[in-house]
Amino acid sequence: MQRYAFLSAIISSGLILVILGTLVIHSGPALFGQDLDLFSTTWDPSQSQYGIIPMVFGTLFVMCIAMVLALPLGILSAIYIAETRSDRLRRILKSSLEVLAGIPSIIYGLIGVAYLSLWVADGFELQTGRVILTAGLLLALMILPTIITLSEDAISGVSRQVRENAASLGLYKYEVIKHVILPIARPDIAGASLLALGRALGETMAVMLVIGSLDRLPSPLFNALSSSQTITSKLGREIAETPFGSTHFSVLVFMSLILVSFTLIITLAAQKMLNQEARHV
Amino acid sequence: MPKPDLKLVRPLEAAPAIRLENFQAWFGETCVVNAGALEVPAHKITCLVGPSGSGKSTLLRSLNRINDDISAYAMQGKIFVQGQCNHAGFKDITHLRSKVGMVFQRPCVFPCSIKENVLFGVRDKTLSKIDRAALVEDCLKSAALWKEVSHRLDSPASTLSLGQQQRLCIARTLAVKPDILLLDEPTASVDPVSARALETVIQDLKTRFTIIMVTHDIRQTKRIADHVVFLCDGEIIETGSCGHMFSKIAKPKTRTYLSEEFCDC
Amino acid sequence: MSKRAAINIIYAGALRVALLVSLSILAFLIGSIIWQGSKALSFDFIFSDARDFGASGGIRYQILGSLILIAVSALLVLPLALGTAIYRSEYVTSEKLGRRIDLAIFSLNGIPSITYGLFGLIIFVNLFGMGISWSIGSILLAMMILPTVTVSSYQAMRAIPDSYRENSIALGLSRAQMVRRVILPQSLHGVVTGLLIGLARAIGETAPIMFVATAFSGVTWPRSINEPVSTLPTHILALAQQATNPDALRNAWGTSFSLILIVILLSTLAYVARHKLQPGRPQ
Ligand SMILES: Nc1ncnc2c1ncn2[C@@H]1O[C@H](COP(=O)(O)OP(=O)(O)OP(=O)(O)O)[C@@H](O)[C@H]1O
Ligand SMILES: [Mg+2]
Repeated sequence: MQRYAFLSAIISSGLILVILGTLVIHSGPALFGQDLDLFSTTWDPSQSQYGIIPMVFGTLFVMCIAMVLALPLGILSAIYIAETRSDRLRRILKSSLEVLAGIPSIIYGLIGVAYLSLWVADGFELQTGRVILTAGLLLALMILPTIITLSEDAISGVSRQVRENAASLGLYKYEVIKHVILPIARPDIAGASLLALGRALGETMAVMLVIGSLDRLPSPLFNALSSSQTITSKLGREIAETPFGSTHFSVLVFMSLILVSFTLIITLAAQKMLNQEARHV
Repeated sequence: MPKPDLKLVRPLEAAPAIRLENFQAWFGETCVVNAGALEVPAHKITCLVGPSGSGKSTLLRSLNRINDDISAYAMQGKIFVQGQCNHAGFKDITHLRSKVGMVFQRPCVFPCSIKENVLFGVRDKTLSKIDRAALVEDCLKSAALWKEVSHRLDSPASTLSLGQQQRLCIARTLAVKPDILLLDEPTASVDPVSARALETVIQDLKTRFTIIMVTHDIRQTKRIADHVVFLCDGEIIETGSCGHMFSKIAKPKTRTYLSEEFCDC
Repeated sequence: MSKRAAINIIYAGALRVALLVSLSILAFLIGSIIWQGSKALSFDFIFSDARDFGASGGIRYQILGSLILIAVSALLVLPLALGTAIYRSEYVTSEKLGRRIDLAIFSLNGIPSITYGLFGLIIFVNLFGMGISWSIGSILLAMMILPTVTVSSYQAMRAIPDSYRENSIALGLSRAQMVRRVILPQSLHGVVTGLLIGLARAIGETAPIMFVATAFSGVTWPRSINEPVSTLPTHILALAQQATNPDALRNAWGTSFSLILIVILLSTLAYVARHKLQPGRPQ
């Protein structure tokens, strides 16, 4: 029994190292092989130009749009749900949010293709609705349930005592929330946001279907209505068609390594925040 | 024995600070307080006594409408605070709460410094720094905490002992300058010596505030109450001056409870 | 009216607006899936083969493929997760080692699903020369849900009071016997719940399997472990890419709806398992 358990633990813990190791080894050619300018803004494999900046920029841009939209909306909604007097409303909302959080991302992609991109195209009179804004909106929809559910847990986890004490001092509701509840729930809300952020960064399917797959920086730079490419959509589109062992492939692996580094750090930080103990009064 | 008229036992010299009319409190389908009529005299210490679960806290919490945030809670009848209905008379609930301050059974300090805790309910931005410091000192002195904490006003409030925290909660409530103080078993979580100290504090506060206090300690009631309300199973069994309630002419039920014998109610 | 009262009103309004927006989003998402899905879903749709690249016909083999993938990944992940959880809970004595294991396993959660696909492509398809085969998909999905299953099992094991362990040892059981007779039965609910939650997630994953385990058309049921299958999520992907064709789009919705029903079924089972299998313990 001990040997079996030990072996399992070794394998499970070793997986992450194997994955990271594989990525590092196979990004080798891109990093050390020829004189590649990886950090340029041109991606054109036929000219041996592998600039990954457009993809990195697209990833960050889409992520920012998603967070800027989803975070305030999610936290405000979470406050409402946590503070409402109606237990029934809370129960219904929470269970539908949990269902939504479990919806596979490809279905969000379908919604993006079938509705969102058409609406964006109509609304902004574009030729194609497959642009950065659409991807950002779609990601916002995707992470909204996660943000609301986890933030709501954090806010309603603050004991009723604290609320009652603050209210009985004659504080308005917004003051109770701003000065008492949010400070106490902050680590949990930050953890929830980071978790959502990690999910947004690593999301492939939904983004891939609506981003438009254009390997160029938008012009002007912050034009959310242009097509673009994220690291994940790039990988999703190209891995299967790229010959294994080529420089092109190696650059894709390197991009994946960059992505993994981001999401790993973010997810572990989120995990750490959510696991902090003894912060509730 | 003739039913005593509750109105007659009211001290006639002052208008009541709080008056209940046909008051009932419900949690879901159960009526936990059926108080009928009750008047609480101003500038006196009124002790609410009764067995556990008899609805003392519920009654107290109805006075400043803290119960309103509990979804199962509903009330009937009327509560008048200084002659104004606590629902219709106070459009803005925070006005009611700054008039009727409350200290809860378990001390609960906010995660900030002692000074910030005292000033937590003071939302007047125009108050100068000097005025604030003076207010902090004044309130902490009134709560008999000044001597212990004057040298560390900026340290976190959670570092205080439980008894000190309870007094900090009182100081915090005083800083809002209420007229009426509701105290829910203020001495329950502190040792007997601190409890006696708190009693002195409460008695000193009597000149400035109307005090309504829940307590399980009969001897404490005898020591500090001017007026006693005896609650049992949500009903007000009897109210009267402290002398009346502890005398032979009180109702048998009251007498049994207050003489700390087994009470079957 | 004071400034504070005014802010309070604005704040209450903002909360209400936010909730309303979130609610409409919720309603839109759920509504569109149910509305569009139920239009496409029928008995025929579920039990017939896909034709015309999915634009007509049904999703029989897609459902089958998805179920095979998660069933085998369950078989793969279960012994590994159980062993790891047992080791973590019963054999690790140093807190530091325990935290290292936790870190290594949690990290798997931080890896984007597309990276699993890339990893599978490099290792299994190319280095091991397995070609595109469904078994790679099962392995990758098992890796993805390993943290979920392990952590859920481990937490259930940690919740077993130490008195149970002490008593079993006092009765002369060896540690291995104790694990088999006491720890495993007492933590069953955690294992099953974790597994079901993991599978609910695995069945919806597209990115890790789309270029290592699946083919879009012309696939029936696999005759060996080195064959591709067709799955629900990759079917949706293929159909979504032909979204201009209304028939393809309709079938994409139907497939989505079926997939969601399976996910909901698995989640409900997980919920039931958590509550029904929980052993009663004396306080
Ligand atoms: N939030 C609530 N929901 C439902 N019932 C409640 C709630 N709070 C109190 N009750 C019920 O109301 C009744 C009165 O409770 P209350 O807290 O007022 O008693 P109490 O007299 O203060 O008792 P104690 O002396 O133990 O503090 C009890 O039966 C209690 O179970
Ligand atoms: Mg009480």
